[in-house]
Amino acid sequence: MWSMAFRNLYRDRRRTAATVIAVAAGLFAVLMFLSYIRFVEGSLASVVIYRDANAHVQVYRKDGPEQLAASPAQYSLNREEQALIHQISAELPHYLRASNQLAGVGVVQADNKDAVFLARGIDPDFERALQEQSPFATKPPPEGGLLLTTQLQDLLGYPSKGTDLQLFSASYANRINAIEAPLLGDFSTGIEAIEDKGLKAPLALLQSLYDTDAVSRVVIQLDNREYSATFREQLAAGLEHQVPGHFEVTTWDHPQIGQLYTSFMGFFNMVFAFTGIVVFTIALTTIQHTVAMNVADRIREIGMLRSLGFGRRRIAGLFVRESVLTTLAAAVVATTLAYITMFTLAIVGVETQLPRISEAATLNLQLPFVWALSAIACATAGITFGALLTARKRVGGEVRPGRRSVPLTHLLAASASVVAAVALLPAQPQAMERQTVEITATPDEKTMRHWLRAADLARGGWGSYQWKLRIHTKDPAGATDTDYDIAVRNGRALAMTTAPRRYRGEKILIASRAMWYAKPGLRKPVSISPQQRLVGEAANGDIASTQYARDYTPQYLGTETLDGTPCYKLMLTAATDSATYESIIYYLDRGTLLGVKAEFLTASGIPLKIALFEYGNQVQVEGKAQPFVSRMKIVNANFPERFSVLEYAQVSPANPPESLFTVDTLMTL
Amino acid sequence: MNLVEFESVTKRYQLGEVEVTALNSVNFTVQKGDFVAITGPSGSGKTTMLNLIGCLDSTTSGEIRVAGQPVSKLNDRELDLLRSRTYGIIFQNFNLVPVLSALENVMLPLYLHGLSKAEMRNRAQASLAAVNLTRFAGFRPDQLSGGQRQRVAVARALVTEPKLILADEPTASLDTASALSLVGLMKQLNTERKVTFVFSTHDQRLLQHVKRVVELRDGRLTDSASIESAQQAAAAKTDESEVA
Repeated sequence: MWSMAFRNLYRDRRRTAATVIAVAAGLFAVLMFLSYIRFVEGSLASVVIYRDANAHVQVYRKDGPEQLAASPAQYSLNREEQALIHQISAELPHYLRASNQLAGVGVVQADNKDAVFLARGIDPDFERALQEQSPFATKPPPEGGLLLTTQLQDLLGYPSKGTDLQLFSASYANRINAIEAPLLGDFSTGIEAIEDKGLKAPLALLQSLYDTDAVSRVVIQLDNREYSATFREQLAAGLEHQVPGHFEVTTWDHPQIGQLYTSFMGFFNMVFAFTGIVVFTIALTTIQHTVAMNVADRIREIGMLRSLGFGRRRIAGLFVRESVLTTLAAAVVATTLAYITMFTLAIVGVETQLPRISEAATLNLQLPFVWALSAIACATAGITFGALLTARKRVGGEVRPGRRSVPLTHLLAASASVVAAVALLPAQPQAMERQTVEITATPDEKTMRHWLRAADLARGGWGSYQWKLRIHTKDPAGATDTDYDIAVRNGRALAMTTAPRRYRGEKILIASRAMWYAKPGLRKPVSISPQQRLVGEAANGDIASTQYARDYTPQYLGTETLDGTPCYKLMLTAATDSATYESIIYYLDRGTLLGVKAEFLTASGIPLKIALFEYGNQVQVEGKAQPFVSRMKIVNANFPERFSVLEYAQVSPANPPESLFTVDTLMTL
Repeated sequence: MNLVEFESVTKRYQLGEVEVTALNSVNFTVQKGDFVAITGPSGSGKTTMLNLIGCLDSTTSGEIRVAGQPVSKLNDRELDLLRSRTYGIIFQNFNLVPVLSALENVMLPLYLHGLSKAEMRNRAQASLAAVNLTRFAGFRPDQLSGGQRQRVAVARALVTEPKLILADEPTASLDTASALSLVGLMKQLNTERKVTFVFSTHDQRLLQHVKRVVELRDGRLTDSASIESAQQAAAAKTDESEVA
């Protein structure tokens, strides 16, 4: 029967040739796309493993991949943990080398310009070894300096090489800190989304910024990425044996690590599946139409075969054999063409742009023959099955009429309708949280500003005072106390750290809606923002810059009783960039006009922190005793176990000199 | 026992909105060794009757028995088996597979008999020899004349040694010499090998050689007197043409 099927292909050579060409074109497209996806997969894996210096396996504290950004101190690895990871991993097969890494965020400043950075502190030697295997080599940082992406340098006004840049951020102890380091060159993150924030620094330098010897993770390079999963399992078992439930071991393709890889490979695989289905459908339909035409042309022959006693299955098998031979011929043509094309592209050296990778890559398409064979085997099996269904139906139709087939055009039209219907479905309205407040009696803005000014007075916002401030901070990483001497003069303030001893000499100046930070070791003050975290949950602007009457626009929300105290409820919206918070819901005691409670909100109205005030202090102003804030408790709205308590003591009117509040003299105080 | 037996067989077709009665309450038998011609004008139901005898079609009502077995009770597979073991069929247009040689065409029915390739080849060659086509075994149908093709078709019908050979207008596509030669061959096989033949035909050259003629008109069989007269008329026509 195979011989007869083969000879039948020559009956209508034009039809056979057209079928072979159509199926070959589809298979060629699938093979080329498969090789392209393999190229993209290899390139993206290289980017994640080598260029982004994730290596093959990463070790974090338990839940570190998800929690490090929010709670770096709590989820980092201390020295003992680092040593344990290095020791166990070095004993496992396929281990090549390991290194510590520290990731962090902060603000970098050059002259008067600043920008947010995403930094990675790395071991230059380790990174150099990784880069040697990357198709997208970047420059490892030289010791003692910084590399910034060109986009980040652009935001800073292109400081010249060798310029000292200032980095500041919250330390692992939740305190503001700053360092200086020279700019030594540029590099590319290769990821467009963060290309304007990329900063690379030697590990020790970044550790000094965050005032820690901890690291975010330990990364391990293997001799072959194929062993990543096995190595991960062995290392995880080893660490679990030593310290149960303490570590989390990931591989480079973990969604949190290889986000670029997983998201794009997911997308590409979906596109490939879709393309494969479309091509397969076209190839299958072509074959089915060919079978149908062949059956129609050979009705007499089919009748003759049936009269000889050939069953429908056997006759259908003849047409299936013809389809298999046609598909195999197409497969040979497609495979040959695909390999010729790949070879030609390799010789020509075409460059291509990979998704979200800023550098061009040389298109290097390779397809293992086993892959090609597998793809062809799958296609042949599917087409054979389709041909079998058609042949059995059509051959049977000569004896008893079959059901009417659905033309391909109907199927395509139905598919298009479904796609169009899905596309035209109205988007679900975004769930929006709206605060609906019934305003019964609305005071005018002037009245509300008068209330705010009275509340500001009791928080040191207006007039000239001095006091001692202690900030007690508690979070899962531990508790700390920091003492400050505060001097205020008409809306300007100077905070000087007095304890702990190691932070003595740090200063924050609030002057004319600008803020500056200075500490011994810096050559000049660093410009900071009121929103920047000072310590714990307290922002810089919380210590002494309460001028809500000046910085916010009030809106009356009504009245509310808090713990038995009738209060005005105001919505304050930032009227200036220097305001500490975007918006505040402020509760004022209706009797005393003292601020009782403040809910600090983000720009989108999500609660950030909640502050509660107590007024146990008194100061004499113009001969009159006036209440003054004695305690302010700021609680993280999302993590109530994280809070800071600001205790105000020894509050007294003062007359500090003007020179105390100028940035020029800040370094000399 | 009757080889084939029709009992009140009716066959109707639906042509669009019109129902056509091809056979109407036909009773008919074929005995072993018969040489039966079914004759009648175009559209009288000859081909339908042959298809029903050959189990290529099913009745609307009535019963057909082949070797005493009711055909309506057989499933597809049993019908296939019945066709391959019982019948040899010769078509008006030969219906040879164009991509196969004469020998391969003759071997075709033997694929269903579980024989070795050598045995199939031997039997096919013997069958071709029976129709005097040994030296044309390797020829494809398009390399053979009409008469030779029909001989290949006869050889293919004979190769399984069937109980009954059905032939639909076997001489219609042949010239006189080829037709007479084919008739002679069929007659010889009937006489010497006791092969039963049932065939439809208009051909007077064939009618005068048959033992029995069945005439169909509007789906009904005519009575035996008219059959005899048809046979005599056919003989007279043949004499006239030979004189001319």
